[in-house]
Amino acid sequence: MTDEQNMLRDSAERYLRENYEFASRQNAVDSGKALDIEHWRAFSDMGWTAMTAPENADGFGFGLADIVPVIELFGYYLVREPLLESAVLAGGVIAAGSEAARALYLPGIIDGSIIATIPQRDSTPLTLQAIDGEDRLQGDLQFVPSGGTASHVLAPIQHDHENHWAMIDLSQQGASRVAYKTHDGRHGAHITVDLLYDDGCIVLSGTDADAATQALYARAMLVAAAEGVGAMQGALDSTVEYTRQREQFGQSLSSFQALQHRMAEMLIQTELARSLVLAACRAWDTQADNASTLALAAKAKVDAAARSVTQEAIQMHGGIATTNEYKVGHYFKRMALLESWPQHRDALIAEFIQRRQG
Amino acid sequence: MTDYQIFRKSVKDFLGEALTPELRRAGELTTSVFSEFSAALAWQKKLHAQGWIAPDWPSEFGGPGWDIQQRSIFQEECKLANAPSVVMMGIQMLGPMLMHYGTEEQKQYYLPRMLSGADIWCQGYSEPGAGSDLASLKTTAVRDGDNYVVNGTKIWTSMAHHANQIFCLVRTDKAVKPQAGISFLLIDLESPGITITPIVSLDGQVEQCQVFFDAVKVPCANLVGAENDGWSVAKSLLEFERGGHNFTIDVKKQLRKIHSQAKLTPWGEKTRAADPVFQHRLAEAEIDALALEHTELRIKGAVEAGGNPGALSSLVKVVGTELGQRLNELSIDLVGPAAAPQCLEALDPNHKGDTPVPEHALTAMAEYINNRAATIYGGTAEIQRTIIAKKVLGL
Repeated sequence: MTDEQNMLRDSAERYLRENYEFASRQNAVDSGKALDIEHWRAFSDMGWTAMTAPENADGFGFGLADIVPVIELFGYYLVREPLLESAVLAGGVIAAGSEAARALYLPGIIDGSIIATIPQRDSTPLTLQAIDGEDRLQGDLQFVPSGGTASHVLAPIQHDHENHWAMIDLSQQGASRVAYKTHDGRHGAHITVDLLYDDGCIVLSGTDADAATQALYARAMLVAAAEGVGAMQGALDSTVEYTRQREQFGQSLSSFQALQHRMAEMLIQTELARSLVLAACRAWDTQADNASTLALAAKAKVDAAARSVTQEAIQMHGGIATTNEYKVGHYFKRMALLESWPQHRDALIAEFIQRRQG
Repeated sequence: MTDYQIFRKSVKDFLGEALTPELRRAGELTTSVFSEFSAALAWQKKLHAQGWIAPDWPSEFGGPGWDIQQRSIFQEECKLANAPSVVMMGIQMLGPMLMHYGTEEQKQYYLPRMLSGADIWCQGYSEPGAGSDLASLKTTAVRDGDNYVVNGTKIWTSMAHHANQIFCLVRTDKAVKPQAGISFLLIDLESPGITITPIVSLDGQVEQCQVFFDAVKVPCANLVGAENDGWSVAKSLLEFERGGHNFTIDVKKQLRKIHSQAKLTPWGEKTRAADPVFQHRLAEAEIDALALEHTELRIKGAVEAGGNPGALSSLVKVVGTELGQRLNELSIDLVGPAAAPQCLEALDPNHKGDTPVPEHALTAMAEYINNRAATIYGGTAEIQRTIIAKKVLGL
């Protein structure tokens, strides 16, 4: 790792350890606010919103593999602000977009004034229709993660058999949302768009948009997978620590070999997933031939591993882990939601099979 | 029609009439062992009026006098008709135990109140420091004239916030080995010195509580069994908790729900019901459900022949709860991103208005989350496997 990467990781570790302890996270969740604005400002002040932005746009220009340690920390500390969605995912599409779109949206992504999110991979694109002499942009985006938190959604548009990506400002007239709390302490939304079309929102079009779609969702899988590795590590650490101090039958739970083997298996699964995620991120960064296939594999591996690791964590803690005020169950809930983001895990495996055959 | 078919029809007829839309709704929205409390109580009163509230009780104490097959038919029909679940700690757990160990006064006073719902019971066993190692419990009861004075705390007491009575294991002798110094006490939750603190579960709902006892006076007449003999009383009760439940019925209901969800869930050009991968996973679960069903039937047969289920009840508890959890996974796999919203308000049967998710997605994630507790309560899966290793395998 370079000095810059080390600094970034260390600053993230320090900030989250000191300011994002679980109790204060839960206070923020219970307050009903979608976002803790202090955290959000701190994230951009510390440069996290600029991690993967290009250097010519005042970013650090890091690849995904460079920031895996930071993403893992987001999973480990159960960060609920959509920084990765905004800065890494939407920001990545904007960085590949037109000059005008870059100039319009990247500074806002980096300074934190724009909070962008992206919809599920199989969302129905918005459409452009001439109605009463006006071009209207219309459609529904269902179950958008962090859709209740975001200021903008990066939305797919289909028009004349051509695809586009556009930044939709959710505060404008004609954009509305039904927001709801999600089981992982975040705020999702159904977003409905019916507005007068202005091409200023278009980020990229045509073959560029098709390439951006591929890249966006491969990166979304990798980011979610890396977050999952962090969550698994958190679940494992908590289990080891708790079973060391919890005594039953006159000895610590960690002294029972039956439990030791299960914790060893949790570690095995976490490390296997970590290896695959790192390799897949490196393959992506270097544009290796198998990069897309590895991204699918990494996400599918994390989905399966995280399910068992987080379930085992609850089981070995016992009753305490079934309470909302105890941290470890929240890893389980977060991973239960990430399993179908950005797409159903069975669909990922089906695509993996196709690619392997093709 | 055979007698059982006639019986099944009479149950169906009753349910068709007695289950109001509100009660069915409460049943549909049940995401755990417990239904919304006011619905559960309303349903208890209806069953009580019909004389069917305690299917497992002998008729001399107010049971309907059904055989094992009839009881199973009744349970199954209630479940499939989406009847709310009745708070069961009194009728299913404490009741049979009082019939066996209780004094005449205790039976006459408590059993009818249990049936009518005048008393709602909760169970005070676990403590913060005594879970799987229950015998290490520290709540004390010290004799003072005609009373015991109770100090300590109980945790994971389901429904304590709705209950007015608690049955507790308390330490009455510290000098002997742990199991030998425990007594079984019935305590009125309205006694001075009791504080009940609800615990929010991982799914955002409240079912569990912690109960604190600060110099609580309990009449000695509330002792069940002999002083210091509470452990054997409790052990018999735990077997009711483990052995009395029919997991096959739960599993069948889950399977039925998954089948109908799968037909509604788009998958490529078709639905998930036509996806061979999903069919395969579902079939594997169905095969395991059949194995569970026939194991339960085997146990039932043994019990009918006068035998004791023994450690087989541990086997069924492990398999029933773990299979239920697997089916919860299939459910969230079906629902996908629509399972993400936490619709606490919409899970209240009295809720009116829109919800952000389709009906079939409303309960899947809450059930998946809540049901992790199934392999922890009533003796963890680890404790059950230890029982099997020790009692069956002799290890």
